[in-house]
Amino acid sequence: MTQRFGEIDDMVRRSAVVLDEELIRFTGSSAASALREAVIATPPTRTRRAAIEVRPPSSTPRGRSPRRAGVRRARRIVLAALALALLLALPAFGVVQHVRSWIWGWKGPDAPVPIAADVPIASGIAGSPWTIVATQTTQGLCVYIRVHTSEGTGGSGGCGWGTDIYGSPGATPHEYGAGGQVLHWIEGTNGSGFDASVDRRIVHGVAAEQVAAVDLVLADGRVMPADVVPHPAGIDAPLSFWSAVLPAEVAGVDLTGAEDDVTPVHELIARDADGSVLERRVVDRPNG
Amino acid sequence: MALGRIADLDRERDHLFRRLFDAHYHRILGYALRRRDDAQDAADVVAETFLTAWRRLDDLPRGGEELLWLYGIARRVVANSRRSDRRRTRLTERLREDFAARLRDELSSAAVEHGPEVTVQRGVIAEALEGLPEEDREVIRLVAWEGLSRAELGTVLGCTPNAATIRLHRARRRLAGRLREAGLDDEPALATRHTTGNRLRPPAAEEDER
Repeated sequence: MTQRFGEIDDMVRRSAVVLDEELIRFTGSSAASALREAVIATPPTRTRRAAIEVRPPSSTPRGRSPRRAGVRRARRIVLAALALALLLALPAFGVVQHVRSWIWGWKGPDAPVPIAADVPIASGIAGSPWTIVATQTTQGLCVYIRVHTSEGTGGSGGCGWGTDIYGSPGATPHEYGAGGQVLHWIEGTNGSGFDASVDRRIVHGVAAEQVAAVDLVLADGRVMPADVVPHPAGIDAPLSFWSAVLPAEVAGVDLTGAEDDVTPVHELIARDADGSVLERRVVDRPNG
Repeated sequence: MALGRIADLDRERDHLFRRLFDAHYHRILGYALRRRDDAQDAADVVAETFLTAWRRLDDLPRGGEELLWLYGIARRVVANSRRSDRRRTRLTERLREDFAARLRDELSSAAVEHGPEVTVQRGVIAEALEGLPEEDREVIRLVAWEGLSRAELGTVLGCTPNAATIRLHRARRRLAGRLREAGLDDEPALATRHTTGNRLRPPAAEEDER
């Protein structure tokens, strides 16, 4: 019986349309290499739990609608786009295949398309490893905080950063930028409680290249310095980036939940290299 | 802050995947070509297998089980691809189309025709295999085509070596019955009649001829 099974195995073996040995020569072939690099260019996550926070568009008329409603509406739109993107999952291979960006993971009519590789801005561990990534896209500069857990990588952030910052393309030298909006030295968000695995709130933003130091005035009156990354390589616009991990507790602010509409940071203070204040910008109201 | 730590991890991940891919690409390609009817489908299986492996790279077993892990993924991809309601992502669609086009070109340049005798015998064996339940077919193929041992078979199937051995034995018995019905089981000459030349002939070439 065993001998007969051996013969049957041999017959089946010989019935194979091709043997592995005959395919060794295709290792490293054009098709193989293209596939390998295309796969590596995809987001390496099993599931993306991205909740996107979008900065209120700077064109929103003041006083026309409450900030929360605007943020929620924008978030709903982007979340819907992201959900669609995740459903349809993904990038346009062969178009800009050499661009390494996790944003390739999004697809849909509203999804930004990266036009340059991701630029890591800052990273650390706050319950889970996190990293802040800036990416130049067809929707402007996108800045996201990504949180890496055993279940995958989540992201929170938005696009369109820096358009009203001094030095940004299209802005006039002094007072007004594209569309006539007032220019600023600094902008930022109050962070997001989008990922429960992160035990601290991480805030971030951008500033003009001349900004050398950033202080944050918290809601309870304390002042803490932020880390500043001056004009990182890979970012075309003359912008610097700032980030900070907030204290576990800020008096009067509930940082325990996933609610985004809390304002632990009251004000951003941008200073130049001499320590002189370039701008104090309140961030807990529309348009910063 | 641990600046650069994440970037280092990303680089390690890329490096790990490239090594895995280069080491086993030809085996996964072979696995796919032996089970799918045309290069397009085979390309689909290869692309999805490595995409899944990339996304689940954290689960990659170290040591000698990397290939078995890939076979396990490929087995599920093949099984899923047979479901009529299967949903393909756009990513997979684009990727597999691009890959399939390149693969077809490469395999076409290496295509060699089979003699009629080999084709007929292969057809009889394939027919006998096709008459078996999918589980039996795969057990037999994994041993005969991928050359797995009983223990390795158990790893790919997700069962103990003993259970794998029992499943293999039963599958072989059923195949032997099929071959007996076809009058092929007692022909030792079969083994020698198949040894003619290069067997590489891409299904894509067949498709082109239609």
